[in-house]
Amino acid sequence: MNNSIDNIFRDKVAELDSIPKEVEWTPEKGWASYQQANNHKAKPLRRFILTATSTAAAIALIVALAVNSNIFAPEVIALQNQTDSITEQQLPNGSRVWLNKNSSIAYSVRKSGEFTMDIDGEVYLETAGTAKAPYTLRAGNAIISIKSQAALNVRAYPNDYDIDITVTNGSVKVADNILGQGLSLLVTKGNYCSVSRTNSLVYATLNNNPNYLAWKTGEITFDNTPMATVTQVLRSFYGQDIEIADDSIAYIRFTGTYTNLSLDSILAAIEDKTAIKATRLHNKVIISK
Amino acid sequence: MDSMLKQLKRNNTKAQHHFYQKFSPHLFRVAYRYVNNEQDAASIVNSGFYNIFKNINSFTYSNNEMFLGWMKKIVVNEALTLLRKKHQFTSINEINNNEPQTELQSDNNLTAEDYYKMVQELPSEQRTVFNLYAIDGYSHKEIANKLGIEESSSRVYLLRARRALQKLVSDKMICHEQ
Amino acid sequence: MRTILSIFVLLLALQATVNAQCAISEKINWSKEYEGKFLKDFEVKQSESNVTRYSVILKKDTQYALHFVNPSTSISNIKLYVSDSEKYPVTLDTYVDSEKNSFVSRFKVDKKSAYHLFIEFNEKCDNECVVMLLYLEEEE
Repeated sequence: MNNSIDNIFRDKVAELDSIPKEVEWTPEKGWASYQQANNHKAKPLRRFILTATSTAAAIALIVALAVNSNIFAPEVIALQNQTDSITEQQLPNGSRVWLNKNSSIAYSVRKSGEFTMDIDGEVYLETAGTAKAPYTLRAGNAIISIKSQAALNVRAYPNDYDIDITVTNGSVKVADNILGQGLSLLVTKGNYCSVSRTNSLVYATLNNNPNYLAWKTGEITFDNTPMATVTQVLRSFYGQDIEIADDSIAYIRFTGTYTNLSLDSILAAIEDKTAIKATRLHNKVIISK
Repeated sequence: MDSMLKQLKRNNTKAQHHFYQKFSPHLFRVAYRYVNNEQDAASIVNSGFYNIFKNINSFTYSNNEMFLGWMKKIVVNEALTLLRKKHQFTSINEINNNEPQTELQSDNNLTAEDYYKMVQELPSEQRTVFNLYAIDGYSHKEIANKLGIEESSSRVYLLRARRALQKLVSDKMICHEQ
Repeated sequence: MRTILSIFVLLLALQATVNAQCAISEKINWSKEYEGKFLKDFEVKQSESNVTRYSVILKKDTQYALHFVNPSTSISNIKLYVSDSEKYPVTLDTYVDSEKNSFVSRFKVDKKSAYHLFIEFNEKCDNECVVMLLYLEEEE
């Protein structure tokens, strides 16, 4: 077995640890681009504040000039939310849209009234009742068609494995752009649809996540929810590290609804209603008996 | 290391930055070996770190070597994902399976960098299989699984890679045959 | 103690959304359990009617396998029905493994379309009732 070639190459390659000289990449550049791509996940603290308008200085608003007679190039309007809070905007056709942190949309309205919107990040949309023409939303590889009044939450952060669509009102059709738009699932009020980024799997089922809109409403609901899930929801919402100290706690159930409260208040409520103790250690919370 | 890991498990950005600075050059080297272009390597390094930070909590630290090995595995997987997207790995049949009988003279004036570049010069299937088998220690069965090819094809690619590298080495210097 | 902690931290680390996930299934990497290309794992909860529905877009002439594992009740209490959008049933080829308390149903559809998976529970179950794994076994 002639593996001396293997050994020689392996040994020589193992000697190298530094960046090749001819390469322009540096760890600093790499880190900068990593941060850009993953910013919303890297932020440790996430405080939920509902702001009413776009007066927050960090919102970048790009408005193209309207050209009335030009039907071949409908104006595309982009709205970005790079701030630490939520942005709300009313669109020209009467729809309302809420953008979560690090989210953006780019929309255009044709003369025919057809409305298209590209979504990046997380967005809640309420279509206007007087829409005469269909809406087409694109989020990642998901295509969402709306033909009548509807309200839905679309979550499509670039690093999520799936695109999550939850319908609050009305009904929408969801397709995957690889499988083709002709083939779609009808998703109605109270249902959830998932489109996989990697294998084009599209499925829908009853929504069993009551907290899908917590980012917007500030309301967190637990309904006989096992503690393992409770800590998960709290962790995701508050960006705090919360650990369960004991396996047996994971299935203790908890019920309660909290709006715009601090994590400490909710933890106090949990301690009140159950036999559980929540202990704060530096930046971590430990849940124990 | 232990305290750094603790910070990483808490998603501490500063710790992540420090960690990235420390290990990204090495992991860049790994990625660059597979894709031989800077942009792809940079992209692989970043998706690799994303997965490393995401899964750090499931990793039980025992020693530095195992930790590095775990990170390398993640980066290699990212490299293969990218390669498979860009390139279809096909199974091949080759009847003549004879290994070359000559051996490489290792003490010559070629640098480690020269050897590294030779691997990069291989065509992509040979390069991928040689990297996986000879440098990163995967078996033909694992390689076949990862690339979606037959095990026998993996052996053929490896064989071709060795032949090609041998030629590259001898082209770069005078080789002594035994 | 550390493994228990790390299991739960793993649980949390793997979460990208606030969707509820079953603690049981996170300990296992479901993508490696069975033959074929792993598509998705689902934690099936019992709904108010005792039937839980999933609608999925499936490709034609493709063999799919649905494995039902880790049930919190006896596997014989769980039944799967698959139908097309016109409510015509899709034929299932099912193998039950009573020792492992699991079963797998395989099927092919002849048209690329939306299909409904109905999971019926004959008994009340708390917690997450069963884990359903969708694999693609063969493609034309």
